[in-house]
Amino acid sequence: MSTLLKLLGFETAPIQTIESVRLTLGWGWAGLILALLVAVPAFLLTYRVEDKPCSRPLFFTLTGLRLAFVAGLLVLLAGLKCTVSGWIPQKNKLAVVIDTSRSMSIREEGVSRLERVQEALGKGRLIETLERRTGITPALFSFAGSVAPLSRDDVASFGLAPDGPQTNLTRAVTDITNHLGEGNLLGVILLTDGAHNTGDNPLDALARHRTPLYFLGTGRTGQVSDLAISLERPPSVGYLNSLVRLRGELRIQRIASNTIPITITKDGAPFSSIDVTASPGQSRIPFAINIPCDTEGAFTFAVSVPKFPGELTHENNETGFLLKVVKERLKILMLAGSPGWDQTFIRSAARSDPNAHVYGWTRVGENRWLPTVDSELKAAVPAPVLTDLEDADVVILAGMPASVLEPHAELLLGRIEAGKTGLLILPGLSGYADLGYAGSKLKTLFPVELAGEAWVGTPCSLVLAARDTPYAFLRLLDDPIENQEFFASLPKLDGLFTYQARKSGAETLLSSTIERNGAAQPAFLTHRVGQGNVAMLCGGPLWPMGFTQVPTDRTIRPYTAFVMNTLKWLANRREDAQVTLELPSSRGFTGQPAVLRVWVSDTRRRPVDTAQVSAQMSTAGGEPVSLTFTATTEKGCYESTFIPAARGLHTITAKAVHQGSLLGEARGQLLVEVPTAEFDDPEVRTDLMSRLASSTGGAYRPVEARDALLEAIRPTPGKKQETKSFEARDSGLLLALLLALPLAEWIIRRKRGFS
Amino acid sequence: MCMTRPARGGKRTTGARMAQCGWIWIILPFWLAILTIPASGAEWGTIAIPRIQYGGGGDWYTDPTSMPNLLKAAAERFNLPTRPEHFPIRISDQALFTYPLLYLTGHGNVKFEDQEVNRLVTYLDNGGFLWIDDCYGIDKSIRRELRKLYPDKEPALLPADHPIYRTAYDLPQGLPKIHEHDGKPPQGYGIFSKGRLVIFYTYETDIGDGLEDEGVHPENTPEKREEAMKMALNILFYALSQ
Repeated sequence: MSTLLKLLGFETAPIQTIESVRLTLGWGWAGLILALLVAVPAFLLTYRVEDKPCSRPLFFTLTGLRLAFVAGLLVLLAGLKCTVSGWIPQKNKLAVVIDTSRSMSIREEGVSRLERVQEALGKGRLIETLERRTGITPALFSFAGSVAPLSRDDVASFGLAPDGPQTNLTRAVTDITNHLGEGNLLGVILLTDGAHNTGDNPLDALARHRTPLYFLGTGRTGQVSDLAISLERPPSVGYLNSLVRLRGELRIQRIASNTIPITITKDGAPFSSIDVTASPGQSRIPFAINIPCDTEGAFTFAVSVPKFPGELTHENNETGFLLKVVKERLKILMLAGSPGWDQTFIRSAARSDPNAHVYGWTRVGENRWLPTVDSELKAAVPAPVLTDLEDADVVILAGMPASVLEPHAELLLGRIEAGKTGLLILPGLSGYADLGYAGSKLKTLFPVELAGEAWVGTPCSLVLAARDTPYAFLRLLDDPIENQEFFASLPKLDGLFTYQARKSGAETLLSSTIERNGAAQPAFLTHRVGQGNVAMLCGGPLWPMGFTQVPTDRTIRPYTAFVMNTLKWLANRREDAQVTLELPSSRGFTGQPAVLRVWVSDTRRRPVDTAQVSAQMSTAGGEPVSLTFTATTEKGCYESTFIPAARGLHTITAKAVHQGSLLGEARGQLLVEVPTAEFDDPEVRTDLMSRLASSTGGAYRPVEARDALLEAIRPTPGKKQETKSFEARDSGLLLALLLALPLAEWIIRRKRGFS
Repeated sequence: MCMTRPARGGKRTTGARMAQCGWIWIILPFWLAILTIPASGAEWGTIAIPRIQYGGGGDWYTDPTSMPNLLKAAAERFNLPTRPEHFPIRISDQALFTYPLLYLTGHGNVKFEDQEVNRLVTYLDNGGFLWIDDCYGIDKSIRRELRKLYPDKEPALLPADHPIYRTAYDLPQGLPKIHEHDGKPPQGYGIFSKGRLVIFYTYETDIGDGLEDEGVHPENTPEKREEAMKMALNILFYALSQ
């Protein structure tokens, strides 16, 4: 085949072994047949052999030559293409990867996991044996959260330390295969305990990899004892005279005691304690504690469990969080186009919070408005006076016509963009497009495009969009599954307003059981307008939820908690300053980047994009660290990444300078902890490694049985599949052959005296 | 269904039948299209007001057209979505919590069972509203039952300038007198819980009588009936807006 292709002028190199040859047509086979069906009868009808004597063999020869020419011409015109597939020999590669995460420091029988690796590489001469067996010099890497190349000297001297804060098997394998090329990678040999604890699940992500994974498992199972405490998204802000909920988990591994006391200290002084009892066989025990916020200020809480002798580590016996208690005065302004029960129930929920103050205007008729002043309904007046817009923390819009708000649009937009006011949009009786918002500048406030607004009157339930929601106001029950079920069990909405499109950046907080074009329609959405938060409820009524009694150990009922926490989140508390500092969390971890954001505005609360923003990060007894911020795509927003090196309370002071003058300073605190994820599941993960090896065609062995694993690696010659395509029209030989057909016919005709 | 008639002068053909039925096939898709177009106006949050079917022997069912007429007026005058129906509800009924406003009226004795008391307090403290209208003769028993609901709260007489008399309509004189019983002035009492008016008790006026269909109580002049309607709408709007 290769010779024939060469004869036609097609070069198949570098393919050495042709596996398949495929002919295709640019027109498709059907196109060619149709063309032949037209051309051949047309030719036969018009073909002439004059009125001269012609023998049958001659007639068939002449006709055959002409037909072959017509058919050949059509085949070439149809774009005949020859596709050749075959193999190219390749040099094989192998990778040896050493896990240097902190879990490799775990000692079993007096030897750490990394020391077992060192022994295998040193005394065991793993690399040399591998080279001898396969004839391949392996590429060497270390990995924890990410991958780093190693030299032979690095391995020989073994200066590796188990200091990686996390283990990401998926990223390690993906990075190595990308670096070396998957096609000719004979395999990846991982010396690890398999304690994957961050990134995508390797069983899902690596199952499709064609590279065999060979695991040499280090460590012994069933020998580790440990007691660990961790907190789940600890609260960072509390409001005076309210409670915050602290959730966490105890992990018990071969600890003699079943009852574990948890002690909480506040700024070093004893604050509270609870006893948590584990059932037999239970290794993970969730706990939750209410923390009353009765004093204003910033407090450092430490949550600890006793330290038992022989524990794997004592680093995870204590954790902490920062809590800023603010004196909240939540001014809620409710603007309603007509009275409604939803508004009544929101006002009722707000009354449960002594810090909440409800103001409002409800339209009850032509030139008749009912004012609410500090939660008290007043007698009707002819027109609303919207001066409360100037200092409202949250505005609730409930079907108020756009024409009423239009004169105050700039004020409202400005305050929301500056993050000084949040907006909750409740559905109007007939939607917002009809109320004039579609053509108003206020339409930017909506997280949806108002065009195409349609009411779907199908009763529907609420669906929590993400079980592990990052929004605290959607976490009404401690258990995520129960919480999701709680939302699903709430009284149904009568229906929803649906919209053709969400605005970019809008996020669905609660979706519904109503589907449109196969997608669940959102019931509760949010988006950012500048620095401000906007949430929109698309359906109703909401108030039947107010009657729902849910068994809970909290002193606050879920409905009230949902309403109040949503309103407080919308209020987006920021200091009244031109420079504000935003931390992703009040807690960070050593070695893990924390993205800090600074928002800068001028005296008129307009975002400033050309400021010079810097920050100083200081810790008690440590050298201060300077940070430089760069502008982001968001107006007036600057970002910097800080990787904490030491644990402890870090104080951040950010300042912004614009045109040589200081715009302001903002302060924040970050409590840095040592990440303990590496010790969360300290057992060697033989099951995970075995399954990964099996799904990729590799093998798993304990590191002590490394010779058996090396036996499993087959040093087959490497090859890579290659495909090449050739156009028949590019072949000179084919063209010559085609032209030879009419020439032959002409010669015969001339010789026999035909025209 | 396709109604056909024999063709004149002979047997009907299939084609003729098809031609006669054809208009249905033309119109049907239009009707289907109209039916599937989403309604432009939303129908949600409909207001309905049930009356409490209490024990004790009193006629809880009196003035049956009062609430339907009130809800009709709310829809006509203020464009509120309403369901103008006369229907009873027991306090023990599961559906109680689907109605934020309850109406209680009658003559004679009113009695709440212990379980009903707990349920009604839960309802009221979670956002519900109860309007009690003394048709005549329930004052003694209702005050006794109110003490069961809120032992530490006495019904307070609301002054004429209270906003409940100035929501949908301005009633500067306060509660209007609709029906004469014992020659006493009309009195509106309120019970507040958790900073909210949860029970409004109209005594010595009989607003419900004034809401009834024209002619049911011939002594109620159109002016009296309008006064009763204005007061009832004020109560509805107050409950909706407080």
